[in-house]
Amino acid sequence: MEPGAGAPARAHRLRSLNAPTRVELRAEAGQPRAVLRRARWCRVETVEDVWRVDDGWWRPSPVARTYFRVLLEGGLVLTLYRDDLEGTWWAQRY
Amino acid sequence: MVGCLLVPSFPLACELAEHRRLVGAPAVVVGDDGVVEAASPAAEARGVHPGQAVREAIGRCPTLAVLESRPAHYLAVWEAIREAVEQTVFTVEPVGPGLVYVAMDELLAWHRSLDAAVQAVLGCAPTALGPRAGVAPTRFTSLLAARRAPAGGVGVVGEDGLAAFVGPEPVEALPVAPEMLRRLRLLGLRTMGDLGALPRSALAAQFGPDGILAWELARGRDRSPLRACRRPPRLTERLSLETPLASRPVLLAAWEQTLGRAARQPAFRGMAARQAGLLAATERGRQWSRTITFKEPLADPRRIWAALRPALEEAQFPGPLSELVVELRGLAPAVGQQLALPSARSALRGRLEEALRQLKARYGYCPVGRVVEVEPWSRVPERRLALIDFDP
Repeated sequence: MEPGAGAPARAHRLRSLNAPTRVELRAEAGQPRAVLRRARWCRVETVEDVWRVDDGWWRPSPVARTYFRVLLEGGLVLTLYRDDLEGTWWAQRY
Repeated sequence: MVGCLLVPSFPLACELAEHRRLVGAPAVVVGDDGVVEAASPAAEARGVHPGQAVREAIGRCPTLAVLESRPAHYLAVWEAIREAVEQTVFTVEPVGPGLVYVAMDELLAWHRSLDAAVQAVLGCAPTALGPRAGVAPTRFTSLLAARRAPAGGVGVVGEDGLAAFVGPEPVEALPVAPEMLRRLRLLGLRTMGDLGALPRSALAAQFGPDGILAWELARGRDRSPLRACRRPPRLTERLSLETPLASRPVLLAAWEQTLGRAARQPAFRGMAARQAGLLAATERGRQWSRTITFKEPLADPRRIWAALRPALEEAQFPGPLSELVVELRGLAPAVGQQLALPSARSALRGRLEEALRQLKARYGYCPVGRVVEVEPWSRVPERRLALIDFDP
């Protein structure tokens, strides 16, 4: 017998957008200087904005981050942040 | 013969079914207004009773367990019981949460014994609720029999012993106004036997039609047939969310999607709904419900959504929601409506929706998503937007 054409329905999904990805980064005095993208170091031209987020400190997984909105050489704008609890660097598209 | 399925103090029974350690302990269910809705026998023995302010109740019984009322939950439990009863017997007369009458003669036609028929009725309610059944020649006496029965048990009264059964019952059991009960007590009438011994005309002169009713009930003469109540057809659609949602825009998108699914059910084709029931549940079991009656029967999901949206935008949910339920009720054939001429935009949208339907049929889900704003003000970028399944 031929299998049914349709696949069974599945539960409703809600996916987050702009999930952060780990990034290799060179920093000086806590400021990002270059970002490794596609096996190439891209220099940070300017840091357009800096802000800090301390949130959910009452929860088991608190958020303590320092954000940098940077302009890379070549004109790409990225949002970088340092996880102040773990000392790791992450990048986001916006 | 009339059968009665009774769950006394229905809200409390629902709560005790989930809090088994409180069974036998003094406990009350308290509404939002701080008034006791239902009290356990142990609480009543300490002077607590429904209608009392919770402060006073705690004053009388310091060890009292106070449970918050969850009307939507009780309604859902009751609906499940009522549905089960309706699938067991044809003639069903629901009175309210916790009380339903059934025609036992129908059940006896296809059950081998009265005991088997009663067990079929009792089985419609979860055992944890402590349901009890009564079987008697009249509606009122079946209720009295059920009240006397223990939890999970049955009381049966035959035609012969009817007067002897009803006689010792207190007049407080009568379904009459409290003022009439007060006057009966002032007149020194304590039991049904006292009442039934009076001439019918004396009660009619004192209390009018209520007096005649009370006299007939006291003599076991309630012969009015059961008023079978069939529910109009309804369509239900549920949406279980993997992650509880609190964001209003995302919830609105999820509600809209659930409504869309309900309206696309084959049973809704060519039909219009007069009413919509919205039910939401949090992860911890707290529930919220709202019923919205339309000004005219609606068949177009977009018009239904336009009617529901304002209520959902202003709703105060009891927490992040993990389940949404949309019920379309009062279904009737849709009458013809004057439609607008098709525009290029609607034709394009139709083609797009058809393509998405094909994708959904192929993969079991729609691989296309819709971007919704979650917390556009958030300083954490990944919290600002989310992708929700686009369900054509």
